[in-house]
Amino acid sequence: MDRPLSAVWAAAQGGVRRRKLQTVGIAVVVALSTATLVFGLGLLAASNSMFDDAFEEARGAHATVFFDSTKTTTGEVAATAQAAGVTAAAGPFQTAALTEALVSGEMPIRGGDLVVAGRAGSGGPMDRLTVTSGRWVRAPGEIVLRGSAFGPVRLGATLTSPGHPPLTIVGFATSITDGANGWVTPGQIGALRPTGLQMLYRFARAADSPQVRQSLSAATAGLPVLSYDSYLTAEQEFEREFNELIPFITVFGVFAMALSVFIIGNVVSGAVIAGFRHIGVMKALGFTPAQVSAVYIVMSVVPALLGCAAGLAAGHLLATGVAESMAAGFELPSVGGPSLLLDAVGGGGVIALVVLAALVPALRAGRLPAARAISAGTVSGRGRGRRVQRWLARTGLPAPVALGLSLPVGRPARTVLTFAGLCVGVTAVTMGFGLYRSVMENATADPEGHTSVSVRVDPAADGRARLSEQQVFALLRAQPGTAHVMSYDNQPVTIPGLPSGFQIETFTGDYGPFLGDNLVRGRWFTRPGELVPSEAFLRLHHLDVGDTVSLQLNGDQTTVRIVGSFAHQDPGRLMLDAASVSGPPRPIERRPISVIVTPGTDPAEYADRLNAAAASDGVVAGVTVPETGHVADEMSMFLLFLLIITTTAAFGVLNSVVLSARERSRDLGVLKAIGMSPRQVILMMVTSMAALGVLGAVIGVPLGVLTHHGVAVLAGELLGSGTPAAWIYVYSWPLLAVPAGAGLLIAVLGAWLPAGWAAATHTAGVLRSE
Amino acid sequence: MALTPAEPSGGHHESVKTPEAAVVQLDSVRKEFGGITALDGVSLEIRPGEAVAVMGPSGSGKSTLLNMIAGLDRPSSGSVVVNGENITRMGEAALARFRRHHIGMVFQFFNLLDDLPALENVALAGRLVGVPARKARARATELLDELGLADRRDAYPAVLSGGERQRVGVARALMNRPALLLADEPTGALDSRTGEQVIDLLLDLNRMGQTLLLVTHDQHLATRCATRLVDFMDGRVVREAALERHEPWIAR
Repeated sequence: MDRPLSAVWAAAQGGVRRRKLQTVGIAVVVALSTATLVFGLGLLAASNSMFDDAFEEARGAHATVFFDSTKTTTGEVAATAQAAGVTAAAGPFQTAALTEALVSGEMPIRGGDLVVAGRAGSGGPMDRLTVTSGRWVRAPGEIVLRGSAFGPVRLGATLTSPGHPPLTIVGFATSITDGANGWVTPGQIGALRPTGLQMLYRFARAADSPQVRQSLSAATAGLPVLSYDSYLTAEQEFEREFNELIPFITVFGVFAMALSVFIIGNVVSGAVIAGFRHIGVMKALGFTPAQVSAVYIVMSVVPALLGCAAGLAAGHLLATGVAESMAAGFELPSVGGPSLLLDAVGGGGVIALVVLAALVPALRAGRLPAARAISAGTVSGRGRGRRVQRWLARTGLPAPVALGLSLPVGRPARTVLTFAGLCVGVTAVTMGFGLYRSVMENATADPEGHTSVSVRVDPAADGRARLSEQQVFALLRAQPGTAHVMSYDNQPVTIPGLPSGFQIETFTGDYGPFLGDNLVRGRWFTRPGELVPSEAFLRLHHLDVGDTVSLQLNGDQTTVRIVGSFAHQDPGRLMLDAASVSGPPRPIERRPISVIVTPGTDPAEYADRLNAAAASDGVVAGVTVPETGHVADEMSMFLLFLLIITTTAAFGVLNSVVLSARERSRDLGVLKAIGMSPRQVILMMVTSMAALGVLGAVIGVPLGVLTHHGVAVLAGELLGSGTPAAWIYVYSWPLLAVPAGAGLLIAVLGAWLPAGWAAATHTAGVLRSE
Repeated sequence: MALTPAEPSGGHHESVKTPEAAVVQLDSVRKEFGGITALDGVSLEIRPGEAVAVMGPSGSGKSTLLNMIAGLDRPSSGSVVVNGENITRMGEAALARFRRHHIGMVFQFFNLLDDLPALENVALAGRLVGVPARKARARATELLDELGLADRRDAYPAVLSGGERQRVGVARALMNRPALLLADEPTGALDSRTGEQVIDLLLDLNRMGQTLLLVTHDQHLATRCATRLVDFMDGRVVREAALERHEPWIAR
């Protein structure tokens, strides 16, 4: 290293050592910014690659095919592995369908049949399963379930199904392939009366549905295929779910980065301003303007690099943790966190930002004449906003409050940056609260979300129905505390002229109160002949409210009129009154019944009373717990973003107060010398930021409401589900009170610590140094 | 008159009435800064109406003494009683209240708040005591008028001359009618002509009964203003001497 560079390095080292707080400030802000950026980028990248990565990692099957084992042999099916276009295959595995499977005799394991495959191990050349808890099956009488433990469905619990031996749950596993819901040993499957053979394939051509269909047809030609699942279905479902998060992650990421720009600019320019005297001394010693600029850039970049390293590590770990949690939510095996290349890009971007932020004040420092730099180091900014300061001094406000309110006008650029940071913080908090309401509305929008108690009716021992639907309804309505009762059913339907894949969801009884606040257009059906499909259905088929649709079911055709649409991304969902379609409904034993209890009735007590009163009729009641697992995941992510954003905003406030107190240390000493108490000093410094916090709320709350509105609508558009008004207009005055107070809270919390430091300044020392 | 000082009195805190009702009473005060002794068992008494000049070379402990009496620093041992209040073990908040009510400080470099005009600089000291804004401005106006700054009330410190700034500083120090006016090198940053004006002002104040403690290197200031000289060396009082001014000291 030549001498000029070593001089720059030595001067920068001295500066870093001398201004420890500012050095730490730059490091912390850069760490938070980097962590946010890497976290956000990591999640967005995960949304693009998580399924593909997991699919490759687990060697997922492009198609899972079920053959009728009564019409073909294991050898014939196994031979398809050698067919043209098949690049890999696994199986055949014998499969059995367990009907009405219960765990611990009470918890229905699935609405339909539980498909169980006989499989020796979890590994293999294809569909490598990840055992997330417990272990793989070793002996007959054991089962590993797909998914994770939930309530009574846990390790050690017993799974029963009429006509089959009981099975003990010994593990839970994830599978990238839609094939089976559970696995037993090959020796056990024979005892479960297998009816199918399952074969897994990977094809040379499987980029889209036609390719999968063609490859499959070529491989299985002439064999009795019962059904098949394509990996594209799971991939599309995953992408749909993840698309919902993209607007939120992007907006939070943009907020965090904007905040970082404000604060890094503030911290770095503050360091330069605070170092004016130092600049003068360096110039007096013979440093060139370029060297002075270099010293200030190095002083900013060195702590920034340290902060960046810490932020990269934290962001990477966070993104990995959240991605794993999300992967688990989609039952995908974990594939690790975001790539190191992405980390490097994120970190490099933040460092570039720091250099840019440092460049302007550093060049200014380089150009500053030595004499002016030395003299500027002794005074605070002069001549700015004096009219305001004078007016405040003349008001009847207590002196510390008036002085505090006048502090921000002395450094308008710093005030604007701090204020902008507070606005972003309040906007993020406001949006976060709105998102919480929207997500909760979304989670409870379906009929299940409105259900207090779920009821099922078990058939008699001989399999015959004990009660008719009317009798069940009458029994339930006779129960004290019953407000509304309905039953639900779903079955496949075709619509002439449209591709297949529709499911009608039919409702019987007093269903009105069960239908959610998730209408995008029109109204809910109230009588037979009215249809409410998903918004995605209307968009896909270019239909609208008022149009009619013909439904073909059980050979009969019914025409129904569309009266509304509900928010959902699945274009195959159609909801209507059960009497709209002809044909007998499925037996009541196969359909869930829902009850809403009257206000003041405890659902658990109601269910207990009902179980006690109607057990002899086969009635089994249980409290409905809405599935909010994914809500918790999303809220955890929102909270994490909010925590980072508000902490960064508070840190911006802290930095601003530190700079202000440092520049005004002489004034603070004088004020203390003439009798300002430590409490009054704290009040003054906190007031200076509290005012900005209140103003930040005035701007940030409306901005947050507007941003939430935009994000909610955008999410609905990206999903194709539309956004109901109930998910957009979620704010009430009490709900807005919290974010309205957030600006003040962030400002006060951020200012409190440095205000305390300012109050503890040794007056005699400050005045002596002057 | 606006410049008239307050009567010496006991405060709200632990009062120690000395037989002579001294405004300042230091008893064996020691102050150490990391092994360096700044004050080494200093005992000193200042009576009401006295003008005491503390002199000595740099590092002799003069400013430390002034900080002890102003409650800006605490002694390592010994006691400091000012206007009847033992401030030795007061907390920060109590010391702040003590300074507001009993002490006026004049600094070498004026230490005015740059962002406030002269009038608001002076009124601020009153506002901290809780005087309503209107009343505080009225008293500040009165003080500035009496100190010959009637036409400079709305001027900011940056446009005032050194002498004017120091007079604003004196007005601020007198705002709450302190029992004791402390002046740390009050002419140190002024040219000789302006320095003379400040000396005259301090002299006039003392003549009106204001108790003064001056810390200075300026022999001329000491001999013109002070009624007693205290010489410091290495943190100790090495000499005390009564001084004669042109006019007799007016006892209260």
